[in-house]
Amino acid sequence: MAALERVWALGRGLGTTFGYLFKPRTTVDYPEKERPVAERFRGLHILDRHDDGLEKCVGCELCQAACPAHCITVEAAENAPDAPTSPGERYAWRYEIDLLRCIFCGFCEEACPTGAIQLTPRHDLIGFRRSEFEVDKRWLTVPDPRRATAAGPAASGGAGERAPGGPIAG
Amino acid sequence: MSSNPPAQSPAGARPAVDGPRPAAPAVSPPPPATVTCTIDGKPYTFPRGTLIVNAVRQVGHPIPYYCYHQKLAPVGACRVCMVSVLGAPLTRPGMGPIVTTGCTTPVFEGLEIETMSEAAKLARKQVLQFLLINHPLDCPVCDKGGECDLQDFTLGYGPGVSEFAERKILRRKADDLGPFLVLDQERCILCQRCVRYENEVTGEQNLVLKERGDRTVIDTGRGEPYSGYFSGNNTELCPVGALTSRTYRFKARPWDVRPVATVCQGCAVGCNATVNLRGDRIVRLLLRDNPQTDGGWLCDRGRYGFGHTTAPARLDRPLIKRNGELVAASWEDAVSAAAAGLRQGAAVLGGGRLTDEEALLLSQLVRVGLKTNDVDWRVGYQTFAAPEAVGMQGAQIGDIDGADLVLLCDTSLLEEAPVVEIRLRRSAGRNTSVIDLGPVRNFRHGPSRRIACAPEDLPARIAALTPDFQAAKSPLIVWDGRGGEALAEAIRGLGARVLVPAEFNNARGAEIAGLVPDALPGYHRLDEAAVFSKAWGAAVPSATGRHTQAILAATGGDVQALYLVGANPLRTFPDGALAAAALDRVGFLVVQDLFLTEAAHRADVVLPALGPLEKEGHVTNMSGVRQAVRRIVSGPSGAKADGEIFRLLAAALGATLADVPAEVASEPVRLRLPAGSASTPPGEGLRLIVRPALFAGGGTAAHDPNFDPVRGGTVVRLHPEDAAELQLAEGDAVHLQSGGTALRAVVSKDGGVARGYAVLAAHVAGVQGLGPRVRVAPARAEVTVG
Repeated sequence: MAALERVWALGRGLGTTFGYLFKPRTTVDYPEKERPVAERFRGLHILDRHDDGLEKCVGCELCQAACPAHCITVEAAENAPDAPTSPGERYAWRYEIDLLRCIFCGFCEEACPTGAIQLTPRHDLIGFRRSEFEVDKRWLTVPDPRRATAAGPAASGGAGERAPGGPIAG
Repeated sequence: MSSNPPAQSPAGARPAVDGPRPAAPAVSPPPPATVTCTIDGKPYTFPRGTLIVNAVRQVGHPIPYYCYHQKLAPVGACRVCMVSVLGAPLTRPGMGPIVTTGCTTPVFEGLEIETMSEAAKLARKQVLQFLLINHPLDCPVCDKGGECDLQDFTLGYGPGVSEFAERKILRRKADDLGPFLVLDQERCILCQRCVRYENEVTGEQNLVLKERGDRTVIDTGRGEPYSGYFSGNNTELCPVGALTSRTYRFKARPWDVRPVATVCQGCAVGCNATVNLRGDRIVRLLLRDNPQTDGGWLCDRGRYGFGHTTAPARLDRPLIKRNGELVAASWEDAVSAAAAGLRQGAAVLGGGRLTDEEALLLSQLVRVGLKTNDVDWRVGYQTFAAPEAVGMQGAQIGDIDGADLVLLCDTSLLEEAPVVEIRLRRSAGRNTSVIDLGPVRNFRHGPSRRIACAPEDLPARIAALTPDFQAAKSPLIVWDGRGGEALAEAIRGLGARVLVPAEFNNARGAEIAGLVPDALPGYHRLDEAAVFSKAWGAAVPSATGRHTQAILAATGGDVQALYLVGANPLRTFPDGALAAAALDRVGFLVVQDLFLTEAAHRADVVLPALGPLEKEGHVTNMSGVRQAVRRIVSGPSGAKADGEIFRLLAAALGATLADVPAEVASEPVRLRLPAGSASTPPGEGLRLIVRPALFAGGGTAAHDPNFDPVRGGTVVRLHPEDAAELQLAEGDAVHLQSGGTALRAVVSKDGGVARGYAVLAAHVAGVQGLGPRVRVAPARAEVTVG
């Protein structure tokens, strides 16, 4: 009797497995296909621009102060009055994030008074060296719409299409 | 707390406020020294005259304020320190509490203060809303963000939203006021702290209020650049982001700087300062109040003189001269080359810029390692540092406040010890009479009795002042030690205390460490050499050494090698021709400095040293106060602290450096002073005199990028009538000719210069090479020929 019961249990278990063959799949063929992330997912950062091409970041350093992981470094400088980088007198000449230290808490985004630093849904943090994860302003800042129209078709502004040197480009 | 007893009523005489104003004359009977009042229901006792704003702060009920400042007289301009008060005479019996400003109201007996009454809170809220009407709300951009009183108080006491819907008034922004100040008129809330500072403290009135009503702005009088030595204090007084400093602007936020307390080593005052570091970089200096030295202010040279720590011209490796060229070498090679060259007939000049500890090490190195007493820190005009060492009674810097007669003996406090001049300016207007003696007017921001005379006439003029000094209760003499024994004797004759601004920041420390030819450390006589020999384990020479002049004259003869420690006699020594000839003649020259100076260019070995903000130790200020200095930054990696270099040299010379013996007890030696010239130099042309100027020279300031905006060309100051006679206008380029040498300079007309004189700034290249008389000729012809 006992042996029969064991065979029955085995059959029932395999039956469960067999049953999944006819159910819809929950896995996707990553990276060819991606699952949509939650609407407020906090992924990789960008530094946004105003419509006129000026950087939104004014170098106030509030993101650096808010960052609990101390992964942001901002250094400000004075704008050239005739060729400003950002509105106002102040801009960030240096903006660096150590993505390996970042815990993607979004405090920087909350602290930012101009909406310059934003966490995008992108989450593919790939690289081969630690230094590739220390990203600077060139990598973070979205393309300048003015320059894109001058050079040809406008870039879409996605994080992956930014200047090479960062983790995603590799 | 109800009505006041009539005897204690302050109604008769307005109590003195605790600002810098003089106390009101006492009425009889004298009121009690303390008063009791209630703050938020609890009774407290305060000294009479305490302002409400201070009283409530002392008991831990902070109220906001902008215009009030501890060091300035109250003005009641910002109206934000509102509190509710009840008590006669402010309110009549039967009347409820009224709201008034805490910064202009002293506490009195029976006063009831409520700091957080609804009426007071509403008043503050409304005042803050008014202050923000025209103030831009772009705090993230503002340099003051994070340490702004307007930000903090609006958050704590202000309204969340503004009812003001109209356009803000736009004004001048990022306006360069002077070399170090930037003004943003939009951010100004017109608290007038800067205007009052310029009025009450410096007396220069560089910043004033212009226009009326809502058009009122802060500006310089006629829109000219700010021209004072104390502009930086305004950036600390300003409660908002209106006045910011050029060097710190946008460099950091208060939360990412690390404060380190130290002492400024720009001059011999020894002002206390807090250095702010971002990472390993100095971003600014803030004042740190020490009543004994600075009195709570910094000059611009001290505040902004940190650029030399990162200047690209800093020496960062030893250099050895090979085939006539200085080439980089290792420390081992450089030290052994220096030691080999110094082994025979060496003399040492300099040391006035070392720390006390390093000066003592050098003093031992000279005696034990170089086996000589040929050492002298006096490589400039100054002939002694401590008044006690030449038989005078020394004074403290703070003694100026209480002095009723101050004699400026051919000495400019403003150029040599700027922060001390602030004290003199403040007391000169009240109970101090100032006598300004010498060929150049040195005291220009206060009342003084001006006596113009030639340098050699000083002793006679001083002797004539004896009646004034006998009549004075606490007289004081300020003398920078220029001149000789005759002048010293005249000053001794007045019997007053003497304050000596030093030419080098730690001249006094160098002198007490024995960097003089006629005394051992602690002013011990050279006959005590045996005691020092025992303690140091090596023979200490007991023969009197030579002073700077004699050392320079003996180069090429007895003096075969010269070791210059932070000294550049070509720029500082009054007889520049002798210094130049001496450095050319000497067989072997070692220069230890921060930069490749004119002297270093001629050296056989150059040893790179660390600067004042790069090493630990103590420094002794002009009145003998010893203060600790900290190592703030590391300096160039290839440079070493002076003390370490002395130890390396001692080791290479086979000497060991030990502590100073404690058991020496002898009468301190009195330093010999040079005789000084007693006659007018013959010849034609204007008589040349060289006087210190704050930004003109110095070991670090001459190479500091922060001072590039204030380092103009060489300026020669002439009496307007002399200039007119020579047909020269302000700003004209001229050639100063003297013997075979000439110097190009720009004319500045100055009524404070006596007739017949041409005044040049000391410690500037080329100045010391000129003779005692110069012919001033326009340089235009020269330019066309060239």
